[in-house]
Amino acid sequence: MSPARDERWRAAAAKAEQLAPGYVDRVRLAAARLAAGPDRRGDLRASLATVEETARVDLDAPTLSRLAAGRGLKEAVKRLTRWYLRYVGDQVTAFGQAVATFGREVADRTDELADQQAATAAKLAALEARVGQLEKELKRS
Amino acid sequence: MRVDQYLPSIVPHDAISNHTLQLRKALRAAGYQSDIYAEAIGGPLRREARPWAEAKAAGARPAGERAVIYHASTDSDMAGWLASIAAGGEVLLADYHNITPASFFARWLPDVARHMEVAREQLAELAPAVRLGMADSRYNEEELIELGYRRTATCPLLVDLSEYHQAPDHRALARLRRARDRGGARWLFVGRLSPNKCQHDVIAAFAVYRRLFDPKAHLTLVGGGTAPRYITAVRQMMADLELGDSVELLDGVGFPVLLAQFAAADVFVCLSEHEGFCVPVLEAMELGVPVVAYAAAAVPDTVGDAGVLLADKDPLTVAVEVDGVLGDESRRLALIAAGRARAASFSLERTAPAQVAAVASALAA
Repeated sequence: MSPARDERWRAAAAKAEQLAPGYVDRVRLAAARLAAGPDRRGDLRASLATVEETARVDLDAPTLSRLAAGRGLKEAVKRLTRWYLRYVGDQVTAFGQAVATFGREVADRTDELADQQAATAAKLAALEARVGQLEKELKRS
Repeated sequence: MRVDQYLPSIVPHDAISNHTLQLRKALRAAGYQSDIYAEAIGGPLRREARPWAEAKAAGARPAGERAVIYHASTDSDMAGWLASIAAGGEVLLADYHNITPASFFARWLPDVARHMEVAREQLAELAPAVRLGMADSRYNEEELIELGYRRTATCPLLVDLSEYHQAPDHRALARLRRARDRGGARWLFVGRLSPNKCQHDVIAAFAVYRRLFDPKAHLTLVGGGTAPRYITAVRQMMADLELGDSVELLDGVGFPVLLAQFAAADVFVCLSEHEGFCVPVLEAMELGVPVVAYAAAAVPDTVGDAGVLLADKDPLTVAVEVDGVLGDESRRLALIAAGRARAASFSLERTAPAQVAAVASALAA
C-alpha cells in the first residue's frame, strides 16, 4: 500500500470507529460466512452447517422477466400462492431444523465416542507395554 | 480446408457461444469452411449450430481433410470422442476458456463441483492429442502449460464491441437518471450470481462505503444465478446488513437494459476470485465506466493498467479505493480514458485475425 493510500485507509478506519463502532467487523464477518473455503466433503460438521443453511426456505421467488407480461404473471402467481407456500415452507423449515438438531446430536455423540475410543486405545497401549515389561521381568527371573 | 468447432452447449447471451460464432465468421472470411457442433443448442441458435450427434454418426474423416477446435470450459462426452478422432489422424486444437475450480462449488452445488473435477481431468487427458492449446488469457495459458500442453497461444475472447454502442433502453435509462439525480454514487457489477464471482464481497464493500462515504449510494448486481443456496445466502446477508433497497439484484435483463445500467453507473466493482477472461470488465472499459477490481485469476490480464487492481478485498480497503476514484475527477477521467484504450486493444479487428493466424500456423506445423 502506498503512503497516501495507507493514510486514507487509516483515516477511514478511524471514521468507521467513530461513526459506527464494530460495523466494519460485522460486515467482514458476514462476508466471511459466504467465502469459498477448502473442499469440506466428508467433514460431518461442515455437512451439518450446510443442512442448517438450507433449512430456511426462501419464499421470495424472483419475478423478473424480459417480458413485462411475464413479470406481471409471476407477481400474480406469487401473490396467489403465498399462503400455500408459507404453509408448506414452514413445515419444510421445521423439518430441516429438526434434521439439523438430530445431526448436531449425532456429531456430538460421535465426537464423544471418538474421544472415548482414543482414551481406551491409550489405556490399552499402556497395558500392553506393562504386560510386555512384566513378561521380560518374568523371563529374567 | 475445413475447420469445425465443437462445444458442449451454445446458447444466446453467452460469452463463449458468441466467441464461437465470431470465430466461425473470421475462419470463413479467411477462406476456411467452418461449422459449429454442440451437444445442446439453445432455441434461437438452432440455425447457427448442428447437433454433435450428427458429426459423431458421420465418424472420423481422413487425415488432412479437417481440423477440429474444441472449446473447453466444462465436462463433456465430446472430449473422449475428439481424442479418438485425433488418434485417427485429424488435427485437434483446444480453445480454453477456463474451468472454475471445484472448491468454489463444493459447499453450494456439490454436483457441479464434481462436474468441474471431471472437466479438469478431461482437459489434462486431451493434452497429448492437442496440436495447439489456445487460451483466452495468459492465466489460462499457464494452466494449459502446467497440464502438459506442448504448444500454446493466448487468443483473447472475441467480443464485438461495436454492438455496445447501440441505443440503451430509453425507459430504463430515464428511470436510472432520475434515481441518479436524487444523489448517491451508482456501483455496478455484472456476472452470474455465483460463489466464484463473490458478489457477497461487493455487497460487503458497498455496505462500508455507504456507511462511511455516501449514504445515498446504490449497488446493482446484474446476472441470473444457478446456485439457489448461494443466492438465498446473499439475500440474507443484504437483510442482515440492513441495506434495504440500496442493493438491487437484476435477473432476466435484456441487452438494451444492460446498456442503460452501464450508462448510469459511476464505477464497476469486480471482486471475483476466478475468471478466465471476464467480459463484463471489458464491457465497462469500453463503455467508459472506471473499473475497481480484485487482482485474481485472469482479471489483471484483461484490465491491464487501465483500472484499479487490488491486492486484497477487505471491505474497508475496497470502499476507500472506490471513494478515491469517485472523489478525484481527474483520476476518474484518466481511468475512463485508459479503459477505452485498453478495450480497443481487444477489438475484433485485432483479436479475430490474430486467432485465425494462430490456427493457420498450427495447421501448417
